Amino acid sequence: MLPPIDPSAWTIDHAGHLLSRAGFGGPPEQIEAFHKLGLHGAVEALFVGGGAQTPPPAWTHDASSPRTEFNMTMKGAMNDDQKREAFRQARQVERQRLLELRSWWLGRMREGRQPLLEKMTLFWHGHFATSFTKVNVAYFMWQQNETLRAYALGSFHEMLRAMTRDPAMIRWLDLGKSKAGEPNENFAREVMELFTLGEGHYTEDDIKEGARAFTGHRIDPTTMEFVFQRRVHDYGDKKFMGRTGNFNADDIVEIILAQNQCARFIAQRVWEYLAYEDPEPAVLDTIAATFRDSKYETKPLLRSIFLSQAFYSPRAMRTQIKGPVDWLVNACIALNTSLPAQPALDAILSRLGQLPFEPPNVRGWEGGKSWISSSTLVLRYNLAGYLTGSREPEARVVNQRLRGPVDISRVVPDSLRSNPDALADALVFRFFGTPKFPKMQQRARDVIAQTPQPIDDLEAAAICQKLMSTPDFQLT
Amino acid sequence: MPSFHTRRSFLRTSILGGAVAWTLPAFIDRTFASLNAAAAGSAIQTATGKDSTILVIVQLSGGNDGLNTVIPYSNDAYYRSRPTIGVPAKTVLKLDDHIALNPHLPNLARLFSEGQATVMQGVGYPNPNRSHFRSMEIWQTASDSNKTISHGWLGRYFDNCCQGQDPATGISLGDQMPQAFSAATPMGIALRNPRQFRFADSDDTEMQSDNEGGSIDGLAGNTKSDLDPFHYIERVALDAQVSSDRITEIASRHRDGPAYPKSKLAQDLQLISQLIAGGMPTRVYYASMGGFDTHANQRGQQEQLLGQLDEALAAFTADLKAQKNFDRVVIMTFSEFGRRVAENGSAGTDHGTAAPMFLLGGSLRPGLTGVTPSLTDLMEGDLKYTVDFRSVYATLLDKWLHAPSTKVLDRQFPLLNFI
Repeated sequence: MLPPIDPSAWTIDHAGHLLSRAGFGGPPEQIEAFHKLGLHGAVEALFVGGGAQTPPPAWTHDASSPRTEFNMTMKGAMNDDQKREAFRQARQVERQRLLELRSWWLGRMREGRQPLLEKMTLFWHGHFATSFTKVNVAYFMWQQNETLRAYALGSFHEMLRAMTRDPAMIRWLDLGKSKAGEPNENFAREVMELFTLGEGHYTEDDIKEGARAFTGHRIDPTTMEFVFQRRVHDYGDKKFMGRTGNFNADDIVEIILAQNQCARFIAQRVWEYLAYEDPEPAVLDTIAATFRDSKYETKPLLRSIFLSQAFYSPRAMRTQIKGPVDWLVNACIALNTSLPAQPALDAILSRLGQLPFEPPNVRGWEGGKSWISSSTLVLRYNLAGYLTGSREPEARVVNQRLRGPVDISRVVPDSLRSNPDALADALVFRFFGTPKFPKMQQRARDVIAQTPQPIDDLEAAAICQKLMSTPDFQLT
Repeated sequence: MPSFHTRRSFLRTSILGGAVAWTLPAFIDRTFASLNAAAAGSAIQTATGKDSTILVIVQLSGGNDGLNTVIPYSNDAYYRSRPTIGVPAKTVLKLDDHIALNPHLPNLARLFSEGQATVMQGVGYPNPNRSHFRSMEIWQTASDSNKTISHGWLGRYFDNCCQGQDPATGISLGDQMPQAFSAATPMGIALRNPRQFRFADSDDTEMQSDNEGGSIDGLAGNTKSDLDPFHYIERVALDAQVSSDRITEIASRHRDGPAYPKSKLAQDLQLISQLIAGGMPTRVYYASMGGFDTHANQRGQQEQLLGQLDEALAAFTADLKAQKNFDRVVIMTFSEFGRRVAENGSAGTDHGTAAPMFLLGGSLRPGLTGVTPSLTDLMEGDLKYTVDFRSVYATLLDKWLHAPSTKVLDRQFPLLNFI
């Protein structure tokens, strides 16, 4: 157990920090309510479901959905032109579904009924990073997303087993092409390198032997569901991590999870996602032990992180660069507006460098400083103008109507516009999640002082934009 | 009153103006003049602008299969190892009696015969790593395979040899900075599209679809910097501001020139050519294409990608020649590794080791160089490298960028004679 923070030292600053790392932040009134729950109350509240969620797109309920792309392979009498046309149409349907899927998932984050669940689902998506660009079937991407969500706060053991049977994963890492005598190493390699142990904790032989054990995991072309195909499975003995036997995929999972390194590797990734990079050895030893001792249950690990002193230490507070999803959802929450509609949502996320369901490669997103380049930073500053509506008069923005309406009078209330100090404090709380941030409070005062009185809505929006176009707003 | 009237006023207001007092405090007074004055004091080199040499790097992400790119067509072992995916000898583009290019590289073959291309064979490093990420990191940081270095080889070139110069000394095409650019102080501009550098008109909402089908598309690598996140962001904001007006202006001014194909790489190379023509002080440009991780059904996939590469390079080199800039540009291609000699059961290949590199330019010593790796004397089924990639880097640093390679690479690697 990590040294816990004293519950009586729980401040509103801590509450804002927890809500933004374990979720996507919240407006001042939500942070205040969260603070009133007390440390333990607030942490436990993160694990509780929050009522009805927006349902996924209707096609996810249609069992024939995954067939869209494959119908064209049942082409029969089609000539080449017809095949090409069918293929083009199928791709178009899939692309459209992908847009709907992204709106749905980001919508769940924005609604915030169970922010920790969505935040961790996003983590596991980056961990088991699978991209639509090769999978090409939106239904499989949705299925994988629901599987990750089902285990996001639960058993990593079960999640890993499920991933060896996940249709999107099977397509993504070529498992469907692997067979006895001709194993494909792609999946086996990434399981060990990226999903469980980390580079340097297995041998090239482990990959070759492991790949044999994963043969037979395929997608049934009729049902489009996982199937274990006995005829292509390698039933011979494998030598894997010092043991020999007729191992199958589940055996390999067991042997990997028996390595202490696996608990260490996953615990470190979770810690770095939620707290800070390169944790102290003592911290890492402790959380790795917590994770291992709980038999790879994620909840005790998360709880001990959220209750720890280290999580609220200066190394953690306001030192993490927000990822694009985090940045956008958080900005919309602060501005009290809905997410941009499609296709604006996709255009924004793509250009900021984080399109869910399309990670750049199987390692997922690098995160940290790689979120920020001159290109993405200019874009973030420009987008702040777009989201606040401060550019309205001259905007030739096709997307304009796709942006959610901003009621600036709720963000910059009329009652505060003639009171610069109170307005500065209110805006800093709103955009930086804490009522006490002297540096930004002073700067907000400076910005307001430069704004002609009386402050109209456009000027109010410009003030918000200027607070968002700062290094500090890129951090949480 | 509207807050901003034009793109420029917006940039000034958001990055320089309204926010300036607290986003970029110390830097703003340092004009180009003072930046260049600092550079003038540096003993190594201050050459920027119209007359200096330029390096253009093209990264092929995913592990391009070298043996089907530069093909040992006279060697039976090649066809024995690759009964399904071997490229038939009668279709290849011969460079000599033993070695040929893939038939989908006709323009590279032409450049070779015109004496403007070097084909460097068997490039790799000791104790090869077969992880995409680790091997890409090794190539981008020029580290030994058992050591980790956080800064990139070009980042160390910037740090050691370009201090005080314009931040646009390195320009990477794409939103993410390659790890090769990671430096103690961020140096370099990442730019996907000059339109992104302007006041967001956002009239281009169409989606980008860059992935050609492999599960390894982009491999930007980690951005590392000694600055804490806050100061890192502050510095990036400055670098963006210093360069954005110029880049947008140059890109909009130099629009003539030959037509380019539609691929992302070709579009990136076209922008690079515009920036070169416009007299940017940039010494290193970085572009990449992905999709080379061909574990299954390799032939069609890889050849489509090679075709794209070939056409993009053809347009780019023709453009540079028309500009009369080809003599001061070297283009270098690389991938994080080659692939296994023997094909796998899915008509593809798994991760391997050494592979060829292409170097193109008007001032090179052209030809087929390096030692062809043996197809029978293998190490765990993989080629043994014959040229350390860091020798290629050292040669480019010493003989092309005129920067001391030992300072950047920490030791002396044998220099090669392609320059």
